[in-house]
Amino acid sequence: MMHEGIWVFGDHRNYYQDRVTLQLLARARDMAEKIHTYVGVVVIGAGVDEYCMEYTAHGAEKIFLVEHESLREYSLGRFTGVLTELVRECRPEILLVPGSDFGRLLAPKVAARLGTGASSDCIALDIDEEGFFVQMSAVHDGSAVAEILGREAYPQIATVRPGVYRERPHDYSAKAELVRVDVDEGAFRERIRVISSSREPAESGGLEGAQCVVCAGNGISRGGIKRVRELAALISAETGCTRPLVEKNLLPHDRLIGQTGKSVRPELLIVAGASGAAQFTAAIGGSKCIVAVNRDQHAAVFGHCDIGIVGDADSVIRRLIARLKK
Amino acid sequence: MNIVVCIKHVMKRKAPGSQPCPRPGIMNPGDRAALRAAVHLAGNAGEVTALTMGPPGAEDTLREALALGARRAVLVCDARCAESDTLATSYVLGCAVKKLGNADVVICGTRTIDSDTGHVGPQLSELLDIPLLPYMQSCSAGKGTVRGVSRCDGIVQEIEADCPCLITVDECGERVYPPLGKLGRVFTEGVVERWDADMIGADTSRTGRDGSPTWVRSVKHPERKRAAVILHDKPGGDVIGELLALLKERDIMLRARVRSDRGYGGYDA
Repeated sequence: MMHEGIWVFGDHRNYYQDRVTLQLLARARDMAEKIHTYVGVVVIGAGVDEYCMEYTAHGAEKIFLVEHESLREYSLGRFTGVLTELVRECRPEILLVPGSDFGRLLAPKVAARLGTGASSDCIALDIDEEGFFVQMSAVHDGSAVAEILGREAYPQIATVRPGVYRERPHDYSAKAELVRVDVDEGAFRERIRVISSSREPAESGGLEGAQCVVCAGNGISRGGIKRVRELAALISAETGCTRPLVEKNLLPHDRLIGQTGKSVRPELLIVAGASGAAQFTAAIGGSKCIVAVNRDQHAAVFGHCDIGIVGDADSVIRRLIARLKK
Repeated sequence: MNIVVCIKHVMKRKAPGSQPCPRPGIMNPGDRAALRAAVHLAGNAGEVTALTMGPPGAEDTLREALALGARRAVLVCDARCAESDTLATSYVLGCAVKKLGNADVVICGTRTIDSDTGHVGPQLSELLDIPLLPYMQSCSAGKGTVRGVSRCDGIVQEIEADCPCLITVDECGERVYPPLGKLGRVFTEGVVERWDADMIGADTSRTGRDGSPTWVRSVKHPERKRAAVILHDKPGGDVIGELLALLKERDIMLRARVRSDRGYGGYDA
């Protein structure tokens, strides 16, 4: 039997903070044109009409809705069961899952239950000339990009982090076909007991909306971090960093720029002492002007910046502060 | 409690831009947190088994796991498992966990430094058909249960599951290195059991490159996305001045907040 359609999992839990479902709908529409298929969105929950309308306005052509009171709260066990059943019944060709923490669990679980392939944290998705679905993913600590393809198993599943694609503008005249699906109660099994649940307080000082960001990489010394913060304060910028600094506990995780952290798109981004791993550069592509400082003139980061300075990042930052203070 | 902790032996590569240069691998840094959680959860009465699938060189990583508190170490090493993708890897690890037989809890890390998919924990929980406690920040053992704090998309939950179950552990906290004396001893005396696909009853049509539902068509080094103006910071030069001039050409004025002649903070575009 034919497999048809590009589906996006509607990850509506943090809808107003997190637009990745809309971004994937936009990409799905571009790809669907190449293989002459439709774009569907899966909405699982209770009281989710609003999201169905939003997804329609952002490019979904079919909405597969599973509505049930027991699905009001996110549940990995239930959502895995429901999505797997839905896929078995409606047979999409491709399933895109937002790379939220939840999506990064849901996608591999559904893939394992179906015995199909999944790729993770794609930095680009495309349909090649032969019509194959190509998933590009950073490997080897971000120094290289792998092109991953599926064999004859459907759907091919991929997760994509927020910020890789841009959402389409609202089109409130858009129409979508609503497909209500009843799923067997057996799919609703959840073996995890939730004892208590709370939402973390929203972070202050958003990196994501910042107009100016100074980002410290591994080439910045322990003492240099202080100066990076000083520079950021001096020019009213937000401070960010790359993964090694979080791993060394030099800066908190909410300052992490990269695929597993925040995507930034400021007017000016100063990257000091970062090598330019693909997971990092995928999250800065929307920046208007990027200045990079690195001692190694062959560092990958110089392929992703507008102004590059080959030199010691600590020293350049120190002298920049001194000059600005003059 | 008996714990199986899945550990990955990864090849560390040189910096981007230079030629890949495989070194003898290392224990995936994120898996140290998993091992730490395993030793903590097992308590005095339990036993921790470190499990990996990998090349013969992965023995070193397992010896390190022994030095860090594992009692038993198993390496599934079979050419028919080489180039497995995440699902095939999870299948092989699942067969090995079943063969070990008595695991109350299976623990995986959430991140690896090479391919970093985060798939193996969730997929292994599916293949073993046991509940998954994901992104655990802390955990403790109850009577036939495991409970702990999980953090997922800004929501913090205390969750619990009956054993057997699978936990994925977020990388966090300090890195731990084994005491040198002990490390020396386990390298000479430690025993790493080596199993092949037949010993764990794995169907090899589901393992290795041909048994994997995904395949890698190519691995490329990313191309340059932006054409950069490159400045060199040399003694006697004024790289800061050159930078500020280039920014000015782009209508970006960097100013210090305290001395801004426009009376407000820092940055104008």
